Amino acid sequence: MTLSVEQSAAVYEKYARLLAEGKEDEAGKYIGEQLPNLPEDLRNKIIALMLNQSLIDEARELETIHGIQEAGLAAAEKLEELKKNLKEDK
Amino acid sequence: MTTLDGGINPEHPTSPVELRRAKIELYDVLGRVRHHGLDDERFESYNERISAGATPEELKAVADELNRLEGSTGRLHEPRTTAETVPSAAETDETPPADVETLPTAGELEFEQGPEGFLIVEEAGTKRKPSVAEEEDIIEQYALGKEPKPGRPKMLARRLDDEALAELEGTPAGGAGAEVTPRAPLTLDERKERLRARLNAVKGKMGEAHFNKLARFIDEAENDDQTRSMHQTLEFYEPRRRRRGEEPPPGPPRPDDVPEPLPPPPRPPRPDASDAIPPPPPSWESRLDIKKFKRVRDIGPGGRWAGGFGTPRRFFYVHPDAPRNPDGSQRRFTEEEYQELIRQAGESSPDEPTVGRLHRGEAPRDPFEINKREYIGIRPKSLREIAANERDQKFFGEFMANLIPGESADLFARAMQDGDLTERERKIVLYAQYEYTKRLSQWEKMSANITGKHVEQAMKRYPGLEAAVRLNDSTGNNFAITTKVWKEELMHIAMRKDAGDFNEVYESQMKLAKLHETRRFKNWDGDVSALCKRAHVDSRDYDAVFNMKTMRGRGETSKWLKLNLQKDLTGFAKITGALGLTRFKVHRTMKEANRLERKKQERWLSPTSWTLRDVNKHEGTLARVMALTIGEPEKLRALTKAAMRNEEMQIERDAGPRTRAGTNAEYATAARGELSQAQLQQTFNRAAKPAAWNTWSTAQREDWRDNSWDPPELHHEGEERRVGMWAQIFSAFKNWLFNDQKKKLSVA
Repeated sequence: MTLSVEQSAAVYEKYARLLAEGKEDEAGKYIGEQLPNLPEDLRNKIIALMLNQSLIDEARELETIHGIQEAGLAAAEKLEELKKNLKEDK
Repeated sequence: MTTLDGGINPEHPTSPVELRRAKIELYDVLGRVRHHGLDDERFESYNERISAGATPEELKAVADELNRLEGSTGRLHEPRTTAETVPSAAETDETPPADVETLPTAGELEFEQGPEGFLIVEEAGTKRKPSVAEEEDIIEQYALGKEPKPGRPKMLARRLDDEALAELEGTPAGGAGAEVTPRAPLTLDERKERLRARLNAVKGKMGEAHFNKLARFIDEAENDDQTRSMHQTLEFYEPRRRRRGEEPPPGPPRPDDVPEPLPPPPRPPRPDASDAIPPPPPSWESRLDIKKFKRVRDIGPGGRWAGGFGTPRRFFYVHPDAPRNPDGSQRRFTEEEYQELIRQAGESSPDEPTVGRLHRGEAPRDPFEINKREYIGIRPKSLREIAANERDQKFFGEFMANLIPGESADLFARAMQDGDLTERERKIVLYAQYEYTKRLSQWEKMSANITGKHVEQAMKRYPGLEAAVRLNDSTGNNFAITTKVWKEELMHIAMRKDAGDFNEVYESQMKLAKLHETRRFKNWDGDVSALCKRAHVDSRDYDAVFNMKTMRGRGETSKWLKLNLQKDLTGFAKITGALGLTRFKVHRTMKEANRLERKKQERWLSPTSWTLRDVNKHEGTLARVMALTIGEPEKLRALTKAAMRNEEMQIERDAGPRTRAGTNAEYATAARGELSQAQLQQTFNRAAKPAAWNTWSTAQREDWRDNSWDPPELHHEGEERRVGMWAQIFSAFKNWLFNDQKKKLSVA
């Protein structure tokens, strides 16, 4: 069942109220529940935004993993160097 | 008693436990061989072969080589009889049984101290290297004066043979049949002589006071116990040289398969579960904490002023944890020693610039590292404080956006959104807090001193600036608008990553404020005012009226002054002025102007000219940056627009994300139904319509409503800087709803 413009306006107002109260999780849950009923063009816009956000999150996660891996490699190289130095000292 | 062959027999399969046991035994042998002169390279090679040895054959091969090096023929570390130490050719290939007990047999062996170390002289006159046990016997009996152990041969010392002596002293050898005489046990004096020689050899390893003490102890030694303890003391210095991996003293080359005999007692390596070889213990120098070094001025015996004026000062370094000198004083480190220790520690000198680190291939210092010395007196604003203040939030966001272009703005937005920051990002935010607070405080201090006078001075120096300033300001409002714009611009300059311009302006402004308070500047300013009053001109026009630098300029000034004075005369004064009395007034004014001009000219012996020169310089800096900033095309456009519309100047900038309070206010307005049909209709009815609205058709009005109407009431300040996915969804929802709802509004 697709909501009319007036009903969508009511959803918008409730969503805004939840955000104003700082209940972001609740607002997200609410918009998720109402998403299938929203008019198609609006629904598509919101889905695109969500997808974009998830892509950004994933990229950031990958970047973090990459950073950790690089740090690990650097540490391993340093260990190798230390080991080599120890052998040379002997 | 265990033999290697007893544990590892290549003919039969060997269990891993036996292999492991054999490896441990081989490590033991290797450790002993190493302490008798095996070089590091070969030691490493054997070590690797043992650890990599997976079959009995491989270990057997290593064992054979080590046994040969050790001077035995298959035994590992049993005490050997005299007969065993000189094995016959037939015995060499035979492996003794595992449980053979060594019989205590007394005998005598002759040895001599050759250039390559000890040599055993056999009955046939042949010489060979002593085994480890024989070498221990020589040391104990000859150097320490002990009696032979039960079952061990007595070692008799012979003098150096002629060949070796010739090699040492550079004289021709005496021939093969040189006389060999057995040597009697050493007397106390001989022992002392040997000790002295040994002490001299290690003189460089100890301090002078310590050396003298040992030398005195040798001189005063009365019995063998005392000389023996001295030997033990000196051993402490000698073996260290070998352990540290230094080169042994030069000598003739040795065959590789013969170990170099050395006096120190064997120190077998600990057979560890792992194959790794423990590193040598670090020297005490390397354990010193570099940061605890203290630089001390070296005041010689002559006192602080010794050497007279101009004598360069000398310094040394001390360390609280370094061992003290024998007299109890702190050990001194020279500059070279200090730098060498810093280099060894892999640290940079505290005063070393970044370029030095780059030159050595090291990473440059972290630009976001907080140097507390740069922020003395600065208490960084908390993020909460910044977020609560609209101005701070705006400028801090701008600063963050400029700090790491393309990265830090997103970082700040994420910090506001979900606080998900890495350790480095937190470091950057902390740095930004410090730097922002510092720059803000500088800006506040500086902006309090900026007045319309500065704008006026800048206009005099840069006439092009006047066109921009006069758009909005005049003397009547004391250039208030431009002053405000300039202050705000300075804040934006301060928020740039490179605050070079801002620092320049800040320093100039602060110095200028001080200079204006000086007695010399006040006197000069007072004189200028008095002169202008006498000449009936405004003091602001001083530079325009008085051109005293050239003869022609002075002539024109004089003429202008005369006319200026005469035009104000009335009645009788006008008559007297025409008769020439004005000339006296002009003459006096010109004389005074000349005096002021001379004051302005920079001279060595004129402190006022120094002050005026500095004032001129700093005013020039301020004017230059002001002209460059306000003279930018973007600013000029904004100033012109603001002047023509009688509005405040608006320039869009790359600011940070919105404050939480601002966003919440927007949400609250939305929740009250600002986009409901009724409220939107009211907004539309109130909106300013085009002038020809009443003449437009309905279609024209609807077109305007749908395509042009965009009420500013619905756009909150900074809404484009909303942060986070929920805010983005809110924006999308709002736009969609507005565009849909407005189509239903009545245009009547």
